[in-house]
Amino acid sequence: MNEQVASVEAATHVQPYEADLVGRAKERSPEAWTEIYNTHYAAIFRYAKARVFDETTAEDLASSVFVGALKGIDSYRYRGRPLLAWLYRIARNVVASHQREVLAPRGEELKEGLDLPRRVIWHLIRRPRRDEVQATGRDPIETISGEGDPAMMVDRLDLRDALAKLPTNQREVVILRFLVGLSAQEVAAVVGKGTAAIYSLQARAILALRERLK
Amino acid sequence: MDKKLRKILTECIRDIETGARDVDGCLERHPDRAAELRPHLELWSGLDAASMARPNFAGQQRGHQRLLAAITDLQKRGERRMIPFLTPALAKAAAVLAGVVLLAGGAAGASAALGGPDVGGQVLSTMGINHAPDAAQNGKDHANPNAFEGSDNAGQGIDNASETGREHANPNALDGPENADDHDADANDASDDGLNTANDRAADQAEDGLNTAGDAGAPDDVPPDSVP
Repeated sequence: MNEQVASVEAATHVQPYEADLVGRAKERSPEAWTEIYNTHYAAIFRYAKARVFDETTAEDLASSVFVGALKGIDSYRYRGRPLLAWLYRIARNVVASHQREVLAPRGEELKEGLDLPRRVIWHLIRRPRRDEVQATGRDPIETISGEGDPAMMVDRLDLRDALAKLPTNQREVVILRFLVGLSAQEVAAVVGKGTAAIYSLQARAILALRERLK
Repeated sequence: MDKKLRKILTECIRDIETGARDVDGCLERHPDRAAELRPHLELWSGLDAASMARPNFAGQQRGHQRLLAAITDLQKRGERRMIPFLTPALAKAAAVLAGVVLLAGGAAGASAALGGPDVGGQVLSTMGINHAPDAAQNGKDHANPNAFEGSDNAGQGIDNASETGREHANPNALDGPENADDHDADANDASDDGLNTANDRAADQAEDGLNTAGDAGAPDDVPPDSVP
């Protein structure tokens, strides 16, 4: 409860600041955009990385999110929701657009060569190409254990595969909560749901992920 | 899916996140489901403890430069947009002028051909000839009867048709529909640009011009065979 109160108090302070920042951003102030970029780049990059699992691509996509925000700022109205919520929506669209561009041609390529069922094709196109693995020297589809010191169970989890199989709302919450590093309150504000719904979605996601480990 | 387990797990996640309880506290609170609950809470803790991706500084700087370049580009485009913004206004003014000149010229030409009053002068003096679709239609309505009558008269070789003037209006009457068509096209262009003022005046002028032409005495040297 204390955390919620603190969050509300923080939001009260953040709103006028963000409203002013948005106002300056609408005037194309480089300083305002630098401030927005420096504040939110890490979160947007992590989100993109969690969706595409490739650092260079994630950097490009994160950069595209801010350029897209710059182009769309005139139609944006600040109504008290965190600026990150707007950036997150752009990020979702940018990532989805990227995946359509990248995955669709690969799917077509496979379909031309192999007469496979759709599910098999989608499974294959989610796997990296051999030349990509050779070029980077590592499989871009890694378990989360390759990047830190996670718990034993997470070691066994192919996170990319597991996330891809989660329903969209659960996947987004898991990414924002665990891979972007937002608190439950922040996730709630970003996706426009209540905090209780975020706890519930986390629980559903954990149950689904656990099923895949059995 | 076990709804009861999901509900307990939701409560545990909420309690852990808000600091009300830790994992062991949750398990102690639900001893009958502890065995099922433990692996789920461990997975949740494992995800929570997972290190987050760290952005590469060089990559972040590249993105920042790209953003700043996009701002500069937008600012330049904003400056350039000022010139195209003025262009439609100039185009409108040119269209108005062209419409006025064409309408005035048509009416004056009709009058001059008949040797009638100086319609061109009247047109220029009154101005505001912008709604030529109506004017053109009026022009056609008035011109066509004269044209047919003039044609009949010419065929009959009537020389002294100046009593009514209608017979001598043939050349003008023939020009009338053409002028009206030209005016129609000009006016459509003008009206496309939103120039819809002084409609009634234009109609009256066109009508007056053509009526004047019809009523005026035509020159005697107009050959009767000039009329189809």
